[in-house]
Amino acid sequence: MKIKNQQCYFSANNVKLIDYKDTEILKKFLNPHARMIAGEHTGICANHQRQLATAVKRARFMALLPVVAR
Amino acid sequence: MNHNENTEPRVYELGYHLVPTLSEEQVPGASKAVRGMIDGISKDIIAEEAPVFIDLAYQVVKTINHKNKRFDDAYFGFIKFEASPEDIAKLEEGLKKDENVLRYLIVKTLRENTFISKKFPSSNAKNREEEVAPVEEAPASEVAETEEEKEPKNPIDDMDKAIDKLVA
Repeated sequence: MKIKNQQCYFSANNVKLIDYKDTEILKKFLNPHARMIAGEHTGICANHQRQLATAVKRARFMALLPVVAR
Repeated sequence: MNHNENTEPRVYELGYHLVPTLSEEQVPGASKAVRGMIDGISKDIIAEEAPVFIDLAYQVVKTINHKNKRFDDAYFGFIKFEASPEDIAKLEEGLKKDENVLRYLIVKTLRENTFISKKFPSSNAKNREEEVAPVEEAPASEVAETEEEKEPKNPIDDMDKAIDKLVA
């Protein structure tokens, strides 16, 4: 299911750089197995989707987010 | 990492985990040691958060005295500062040698606050007090509203009494 005609969450909130410590926000864009949701499903603009991917990977390294959740 | 490409100072953020074997009293000392390393290389410390005890999302292994030790929780803190790239290499060396640092991450960031959620998941007591304060006020206003609701009931009682009198 694609999300259409929705403004990017981060653009709407005027976020310049996605912080890896914002785990509550990052979790919104993970599925229950803690995998990232694809950009076409999240409705985030390409720029922020790339930043999100970096932030999630940083949070995983710092053990703030799980790599896999079963 | 090649630190020679860009030599101008820029804003970095160091996030670090301290080992949970430290007691509550030892944590400020360990974080001061980390802060001391940054004080040595940076003149401008933009933001700082004291380490807070958090549960880790997975087990982290650290080799201490040639033995692998596994940790499920840690004290997480971060410092935002301005420094030049060569100094970051020195800082990393220092952090690797520090036995109290379980894991660390240095990232390039912006001077402005990039943290948009209201608080860190298991944040310090100060933020909690701020959150609690408005909640305490809220019931007071609710009480006032309920009292206002009660007041209109009184005229209804009066009306009932008046009707009773008329019926009588």
